[in-house]
Order: sequence, then structure tokens, then C-alpha cells
Amino acid sequence: MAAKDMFTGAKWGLSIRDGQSAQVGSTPRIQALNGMMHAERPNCDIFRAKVLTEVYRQTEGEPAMRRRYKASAELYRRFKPVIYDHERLAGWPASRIRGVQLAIDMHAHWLENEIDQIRTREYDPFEISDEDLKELKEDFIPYWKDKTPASLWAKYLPEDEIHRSQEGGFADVINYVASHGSHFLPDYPYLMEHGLKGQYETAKKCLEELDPDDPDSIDKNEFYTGLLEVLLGIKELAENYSDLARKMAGTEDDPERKQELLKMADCMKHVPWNPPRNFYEAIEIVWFVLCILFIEGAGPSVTYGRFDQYMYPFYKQGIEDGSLTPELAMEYIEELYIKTTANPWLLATDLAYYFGGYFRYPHLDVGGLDKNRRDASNELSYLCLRAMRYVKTTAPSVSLLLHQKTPDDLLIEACKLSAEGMGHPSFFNMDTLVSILEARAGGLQGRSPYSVDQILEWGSPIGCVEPGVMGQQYGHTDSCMINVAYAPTLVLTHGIKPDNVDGWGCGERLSYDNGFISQYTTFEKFYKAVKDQIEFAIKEAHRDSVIVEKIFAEQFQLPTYTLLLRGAVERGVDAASGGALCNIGPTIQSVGFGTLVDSITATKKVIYDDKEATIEELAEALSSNFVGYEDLRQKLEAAPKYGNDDDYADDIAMDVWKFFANTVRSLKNYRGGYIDPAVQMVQAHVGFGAKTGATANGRYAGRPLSDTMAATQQEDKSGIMAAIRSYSKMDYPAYTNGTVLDMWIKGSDLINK
Amino acid sequence: MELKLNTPLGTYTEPEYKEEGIQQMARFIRTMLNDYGIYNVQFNTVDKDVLIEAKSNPEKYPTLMVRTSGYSAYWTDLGERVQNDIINRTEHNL
Repeated sequence: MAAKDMFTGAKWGLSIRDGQSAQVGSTPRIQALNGMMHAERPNCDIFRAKVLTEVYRQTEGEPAMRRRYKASAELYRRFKPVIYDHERLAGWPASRIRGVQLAIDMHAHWLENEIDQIRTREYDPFEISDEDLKELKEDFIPYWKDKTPASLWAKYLPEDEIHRSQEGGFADVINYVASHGSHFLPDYPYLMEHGLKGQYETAKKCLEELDPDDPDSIDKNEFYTGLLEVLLGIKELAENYSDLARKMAGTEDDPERKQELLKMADCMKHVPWNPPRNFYEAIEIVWFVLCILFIEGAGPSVTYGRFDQYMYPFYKQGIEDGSLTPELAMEYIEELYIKTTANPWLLATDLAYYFGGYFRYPHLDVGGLDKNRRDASNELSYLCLRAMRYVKTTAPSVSLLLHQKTPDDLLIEACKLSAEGMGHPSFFNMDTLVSILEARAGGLQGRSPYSVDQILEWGSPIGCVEPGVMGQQYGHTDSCMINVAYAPTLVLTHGIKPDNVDGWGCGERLSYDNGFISQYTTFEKFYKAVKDQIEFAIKEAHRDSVIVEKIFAEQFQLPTYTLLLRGAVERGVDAASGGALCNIGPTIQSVGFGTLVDSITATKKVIYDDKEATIEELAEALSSNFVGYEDLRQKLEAAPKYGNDDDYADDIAMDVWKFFANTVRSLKNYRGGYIDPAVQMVQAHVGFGAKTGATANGRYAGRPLSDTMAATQQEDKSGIMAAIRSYSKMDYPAYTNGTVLDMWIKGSDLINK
Repeated sequence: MELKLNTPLGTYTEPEYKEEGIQQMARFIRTMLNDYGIYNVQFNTVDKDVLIEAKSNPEKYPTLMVRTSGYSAYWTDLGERVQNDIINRTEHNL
């Protein structure tokens, strides 16, 4: 079956999934829109690159903030709207469906080498026209390649550290350096109440009240002057959609479509500048804001947050005045899901392998509590879950915030969606979310700046699982990856990366040398050395990433993110520079937790407790990838494993879990907060596994590591209840950037097939 | 509440749910989250033999979706090593 081995990866997947195969939805409109999306191929738009390059050339030598703000304003003013058939929600972040704005200022350094493969690469290929490709290669890439954050960052570091921290496979910051403008819960509640007009009036007032004798007014004058232009740019963009809709209505023959276009024209004239008047205008704001954030920002995980809360007043009003039905509301929601799915994420080729599938991590939540600690669910909560059953899109990640007070009916609705096998929804524990947010960015001794009311009312996961409060938080939430599974092996290789694995640096130093192996005469000494390796990786990634944070804060301002933060305008500080109430990140995540625990446990059992082999023999076995040591490998594999409610392994799990979290939370970021830890790195355990030598749990070099916080694959042998009893022993609030747990329940237990 | 929707032109056909299985899943999630305090969980519920079959005959499964980890993706869009890793995870019975 050699030929079929090639039949994987998005290039192949796209070739068999066309507009016909995916025409599903609750109405013919939705079926058509779903088909249109799948008929298109992910594509690159160079509009952003063009405008940015022009603005930067014209403003050489001007203050960094002025240039960034001017670029954003120009992007909105000059964007050419397109409205497609069947659409009721206006807006796209690029000129074509499934387009991505190529963030040349973030990506030019890697594009220089990879641009010729972008159309044909196996994972996440993108279409781009020949002319655009030529312009990129001849003009934009040469202009930007030495100006990207990654290029500027490299000037701070020695050569080997640059490679090690991006490709080595132990402590990795690559995802942070290239995805700025990301991981965000926009202040939708503010927009629903005041519209952008509210921010415009605030900024204008702040500018008028600046005291020119105050030295702070130098930067603040730039800030307000620039922000007002960005706000007017967004207003103009919405009005351009309005004008186009009106123009299209003029030539439309179908009377029903003509009415829809006129309604769209009216809507876009009004929002997002003014607060919405009905459900349609409110959901248009939800979508339009995502579009502008994806025009300005390069990263993933712009999140809809507590959608069923800020949308419900409009839903209720529409049902009461007869202008809306549940079916019509669901149709709007399905359209939102399709359009959300149609936003691909452009990544460098090696990252596309980790995060493959174009997903840009939007997220939508239902349920939870309100600020009075009552159950917050409503009819929209059910509709958001049901819509996913009809429309079957990968995005957004729909989630239920579960609490003791959550009605059983809503949980059953969520389980029925889960039974359909698409992976939706995620389930979150509302109480743990609250505990985490009380500690977010507060370090080991402190607490977050959030009030309990703020957390209850607008607390929500971002991207996969990372906690935040809508409109109150800015910072990248999957910045540094620490392959903790490597640590026991690196203790025994003197910090040298073994041969014959992927990535930079086989035979090179990945970590430091703890000294002679014979010193590990007791388990405690060995375990301490493992922790030292983990601490080394955390601190190296932290040092490297905080340099990037400083570069972002000084030179890569984000005006649109800023004006969607509550209070940032009044504070007069950009989102990238610390304008949010809570300034989080760069965060530090562990990869391969189960592999780490099983490796430490197996070493304790086989080497120190049962004395079946010496630590030197284990070192030999790992360096030779178990060649000649099959007997030892089998003994390691037979040792107790995490995920079976066995305290022999779980005691180590609890301890090293806490150690990682505490080490991370003792470190500070550039903008004054503390760093938050997580266990969440999606598919990274496969890519990191390929870079990792043999491990002491009996795993061969190159094989995948364990997934997120779960037990090692196939090692949770004592049943599902024993597995979750192991997981229940971990301290979740200690992971102030969240934890992911994937489990697999046999589908035929839930559905007759 | 129970949602009753009238979508005569929709494509969706409700599968035949196993009432006891769904109830058991709901109880299981309550135990994990409400009782044990676990922060997050998400489930793959495609049968393992379906994924093995889809790996051999992908052209028959253009819209099959799976939970990779933290997000959902089309099965066919994933790399082979990722597909193998997902198939190799533990499929539990409730």
C-alpha cells in the first residue's frame, strides 16, 4: 500500500472534498454557502503586504506606533469589499473566500526560502497567483525579511540558541515569534452597548484633554491621533460594504435577494459604528470584528467567547417582536460557523505539520454562570450546539461551560453533539475556570487583576482552552513549548541531542551537562536532575520569549486589538505594550507529560527499586535506541503507568505537574505580569516526538510522545474510571493558562450505527 | 428545555441515539468536571475501525472529522504520523 501512504495531508484532503460533498445545513442557503466554502481552496491575499510596504516606505524614520496605526487605518480604507451569493453576513478578511492576509511583516524571513513550495507543500498548501508570487519575491520579501520580529529577535541571541529554540525539540518559542496579534476575546459586550462610536468619542475626549506639558503626552498624542484614524477606517470599511450591497440590490432581479441586500446595506451603514438594533446587526458585529482582527493580526485564536450571553437580549427581543424565529437565528449561526471555518491560518511549513488542517482556533462558548452565580444558559445555548449538528464545520470550537447548576437537558444536548463524532463540543468546568482566572498572571503569591464579577460574567476559554475575560486580557497563550519528556533522556546524555532524530542539532547541546551519570546513586538524585533539566528549558524559553515580547511592545502595536479592550483607550496604552487590564504571556506549555511521568516512574521501578539494571545501562540503552537492550526495554514498559489510578506513578505525576507550574509561575513577563503555565499543545507531541530520542518508558526514538495531559497511548489499561481518577489528582488551578484532556469514547456506545 | 425546530429543507437526519449511552456519558462528564474538578475534556467518538478504514480508503471519507486535540479537523487533512497517533490512542468503553 505504498502509494496510498501519500494520501494524507491537506493537499490530498482538499482534492477529494469539494463543494458537492459538503452541502449540508438547515436550509438551502446554508447548504449553498457550505458548498461554496468547500469549493474554494485556501489562498493567500497580498493586499495587506502591499499596503503595509507602501506605508512603511512612506514613513521611514517616523515613530513606530505612528507607522503601525497608519498602516491599519489604510488597510481598512483601501480594502475592496466583495459580497457573494446567499450571504447575509457581510465581510471577509481577504479578497476571496478562504483567503488569508499574508502577514509579510511576520513571515518574510521564512517565506524567503519556502515561498516557492507554498502552493504544493503537503501540509496546508495555499493558492497564490503568479503575479502575486512575483511581487512578493521581488519586492515585499526583500523589503521585510530583515524587519520581522524573528529577524530582530535573532540579533539578541547567539547562533546556536536561535536554532535550538526554534528547531531543537526541547525548549521551543517558534510559535510565539511568528504569530503576533492573536489569542483574543474582543469586548463584544461593549460593542453591543456602545458600538465603535463609543470608543471614538472616548479617544477624542482623551486627546483633547492631554496636557502638552506632561511628557507622557508625547506618546499619548501619537496613540490617540492614530487610533481615531483607525476607527474612522473601520467605519469607512463597513460603509463600503453598505454601498456595495446597495449597488448590487439595484441590479438584482430576484426580489427576495434584493430585499436581503438592501437590509445588508442598512445594517452595514449602522454597525459596528453604532450599537446593534436587532439580532442580525448584533451577529454581523460578531463576524465583522473577527474579519478586521484577521486583517490586522497574524495569529490564531480570536474567540467569540460567551456568545449566548451577549447575544441573548437581541434574540429575546426578536422572538418577542416576531422579527426572529429560532430557525432563523440558527440559520444566522450556521452562516457564522461556515464563514468562521473559511479562515485558514498560514504557518511556516514545519509548524503546519504540528498544527495541520488550517485551523485558526476560533472558539464559542455556551452555558456557565452569570455574575449572580445563577445558571446562565438560555435558548441560544441550545441553538449554538444544535447548529453544529446541522452545519458540520470544523470551526468554531463550540464549548459548554459546565456547572452543577447547568440543566441536564443542556448537557444531554451537548452529549448528543459529541456522539456525532466531529469532536465538538469541548466541556469546561466553570468552577475551575473561575479559580484559574482569579490567579491568572498573578504569580505564586499574588492574584489576577480580575474581580469575581468580571470573571463570572465574561470569563471564557480562548483558542483551545486558555482562560481569559472578554475585553480585559491581551497576550499570546501558546507561546513556548517545553518538551518535558526529553528531560530524563537529556540527564543521561549530558544534555546532548541523540543522533538519528528530526530537527536541528543531533549531537549538539540541547541543554546543559549535569555531570557524571554515576552520581545518580539514588532515585532522589536522578529525579532532582530531571527537574533541573526542565527548569533549564523553562528558563531558556522564558528568556528568549520575553525578548520577543519587548520587540512586539516597542515596534508591533495593535490598534484594532487595543480599541476592543475595555479601558485601554482611557489608559492610552496599546494592547501589545500592556494596555489590557490583564497582560498575560508569553505563556509556557508542557509537551509529553505522560511520557515524562512514565519515564521517571519506570526508572524508579526498574533501576532504583527492583535494581534490574544500572543507571549506566539505562543511559546506554537510550543512546542506542534499545538496540541490544530489548529485555530492559520490556521491563521499563511493564513498570506502573500514569492513568491507571496507581499511586506509584500518580504520586510522581502530581509532583512533577506542580513543579512545572510553580517554576513557570515564578517568572515575570516584560509588561509586568507573571508567566502562566499550560498543558495544551495540540498535535505538537507528534512533531516533538520525531525530534526526541528514546525515552525511559520504553518508547523508541522518533515515536509520538503522549498527547497533552493524557496517559501515554494504550497505557491507560485499567478502564475509563481509573484513568479519570488519575487525572483527578492533578492541581488544575495551578495551570493558570489551562489544560487539555482528550479522551476517546467508543461511538457505538452512543449511537446505533 | 427541549429544542423543537422546523427545518423541512435541512439535510440533517438525527441518528438513533442510545439513550442509556448518552445518559451515561452525561453522568461521566459530571463526575469528571463537577466532582473531580478536571478543567477540560473533549471526546473523540468515531469508532476506531472507521478511522482505520478511512486511512485505507480516504476517498470514501472526504468530510469525516475528528478531534485531534483542542480542535477538530478533517481526517484526510491530517498527516500520516498524526493519523497513526490518533488511531493508536486508547478507545474507552463507558
